[in-house]
Amino acid sequence: MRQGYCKYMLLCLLLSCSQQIQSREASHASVKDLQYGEMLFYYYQQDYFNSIVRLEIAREQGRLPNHKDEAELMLGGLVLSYGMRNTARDIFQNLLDDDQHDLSVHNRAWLYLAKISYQRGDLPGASNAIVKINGEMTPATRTATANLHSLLLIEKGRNAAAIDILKNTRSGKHWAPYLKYNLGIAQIRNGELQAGLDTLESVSKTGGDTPAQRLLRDKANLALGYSHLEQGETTASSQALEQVRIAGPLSNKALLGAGWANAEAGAYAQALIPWTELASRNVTDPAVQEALIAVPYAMAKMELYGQAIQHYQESITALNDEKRQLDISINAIQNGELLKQLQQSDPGTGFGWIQQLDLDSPVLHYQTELMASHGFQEAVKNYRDLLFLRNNLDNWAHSVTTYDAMLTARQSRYQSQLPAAQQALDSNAFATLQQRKAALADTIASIESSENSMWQKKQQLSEIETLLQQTGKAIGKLQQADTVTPAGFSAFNQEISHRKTDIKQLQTRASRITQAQEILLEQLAVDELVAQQARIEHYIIQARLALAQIYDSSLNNPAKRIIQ
Amino acid sequence: MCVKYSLLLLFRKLFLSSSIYLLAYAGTTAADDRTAATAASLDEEIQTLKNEVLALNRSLFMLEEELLFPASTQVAVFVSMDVGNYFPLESVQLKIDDKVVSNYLYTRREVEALHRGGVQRFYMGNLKSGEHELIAIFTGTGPNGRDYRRGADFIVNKRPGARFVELKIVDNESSKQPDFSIKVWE
Repeated sequence: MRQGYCKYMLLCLLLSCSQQIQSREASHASVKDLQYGEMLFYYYQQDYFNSIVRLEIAREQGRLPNHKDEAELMLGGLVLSYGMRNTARDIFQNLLDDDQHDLSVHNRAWLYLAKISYQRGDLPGASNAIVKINGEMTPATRTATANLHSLLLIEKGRNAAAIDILKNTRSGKHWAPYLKYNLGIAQIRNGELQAGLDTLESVSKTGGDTPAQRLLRDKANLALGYSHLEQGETTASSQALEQVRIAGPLSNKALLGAGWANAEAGAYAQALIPWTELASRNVTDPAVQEALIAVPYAMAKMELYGQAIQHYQESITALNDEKRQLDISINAIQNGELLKQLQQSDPGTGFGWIQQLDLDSPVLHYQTELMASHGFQEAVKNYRDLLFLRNNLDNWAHSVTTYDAMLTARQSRYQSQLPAAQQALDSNAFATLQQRKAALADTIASIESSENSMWQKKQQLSEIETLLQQTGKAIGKLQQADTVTPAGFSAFNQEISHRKTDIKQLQTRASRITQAQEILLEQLAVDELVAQQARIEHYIIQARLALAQIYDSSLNNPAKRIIQ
Repeated sequence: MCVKYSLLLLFRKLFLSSSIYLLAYAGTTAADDRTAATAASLDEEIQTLKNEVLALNRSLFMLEEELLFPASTQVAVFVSMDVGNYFPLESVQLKIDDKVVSNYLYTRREVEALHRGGVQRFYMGNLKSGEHELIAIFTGTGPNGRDYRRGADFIVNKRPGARFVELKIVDNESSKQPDFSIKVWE
């Protein structure tokens, strides 16, 4: 059982690391078409909606002659980031069906398809796609492929094959520690304990001061610490866990493990140091709840029964308080507080993500725990996207009405200029010019003696020819405008009318889907908090049981020091 | 021993993050299956809705462009950066034929996007055929933290067909100063 948990834990660490590799994979191409750069302007702000719109418009207007293949791949990646997996899959499949594209385009399309399948939990589909990638690759594609392929193999229990891939992939300097980290985890899962520990050890000593690099070192030390602990190597475990930053995001897990490393070695007094620190932290974290009963457990082991009883009682009180807090949060969610909070954060950007919220609100007291649940995270993302879509539709509903006014203005301008244009068309200016030209040509033919007079006449003829050309073009345009523009107005009118209908229909649908999503979101949040209550209840039972055992033991053995 | 055994299990469970608790406490009931099915079906609906709203936006932006900025008179001005280390951009003002047509104050996020290679559509308007004077005034914090204001002016010859003008902030390595260049795209 211990082995099973350990493997699961290692996989969790592996998955959290791979996320970083995927998120940093997007490449930065040099801009050869302005409109491609315009799309990038939105993309780099994580505004996927507007980058998709801009890219599609540029494509439709034929303004991406230099980024054709790149634009298709980019579009697929953008719609995938915007949560449109079905559209993304179609785009990549179309790229693959087209033999015109080169190998690198096909490789990247397969990689994306593998990711889509992986996200959907379709592991065979992901495996089928990933093995299609071959030949020369850019470092980014090579690294991302090796990463995903090794993950798939590890999930299938084919750790040796994963190790083989990770060892034989040349990645850039930046990615090497990430793949190495995965290698260490795969080695441990494959039973190559010492090799795995050595690999993780080398990752934990990787340099760099960026937040991502620090986090990777913390993860390596955490994995090292728990792996040593699993093997009963408590000193090595403590040493690794102590390297995890005390204020970092993995600190609580490291403190919990450090306590256990000491407790396993029988050094309960030493165990109390990290556990006491942990027990003083925010009690919403399960690791802190765990520490609340680990502290009196260590005291009881040291036969400090009086203190143990006192701490068990205090912990039971704290855990009961937490249960009540959860009740308050559940009630708040059911009264619409969660939705209110999510609606307050600005949906106008299209970022589709929850970023800055009021953490003092009772529903967001458990934000970290809620967001740790993938289902809840996805539901929030969809909800925020829906708010953005509704906002977008409302804005269009308003601005499309001004198009009517614009069109009317253009129509009346056209009507006011029409008589003058018609007069120009009806006049015989063109015919007069033609007559003058013919007369001049005759005159030139008859003049033979005077060179000076000849030059002047030729000059006049040239001017008349230019005038004739210009007048001919203008008449052509006027005739075209006379027939085309009224038809253009009616096409515009029709288009505006169609779009107005589309907006109305989409508004109705968006409203219905949003309501359904709100119900789902609240349900998921309540389910998660109820599960937390159940876990806290479990701790309370354990604490009461331990208390009863101490009392029972003291009754049977009065020599035990209950009161310190 | 009972407590210790329980704690050992618990601590390992905790270390696995809450996902294992979802399995333990909430992952297997019929109600949860129903919730998951609802979530999946709603996700499909949202994907379709996104597709349609994107298509609508595409149509409306193109319609807007045709109505407001016909190709014969259209001029679009873009802003970009080539590295941009010497110029933390704050705002740009654009004048055409001595008339202010646009002022823009940048957010940090937008400046970062420009640094990374993004190109901002700064202004869209209409110009008659012929020569026009464009003046761009860039403000920001220049070398040594001093306020920086630089103008660049140039003549654009508007011909039939849409005209795209790129205002580019370029690092001048020799002077350690920003340069401002203009490119007219055909």
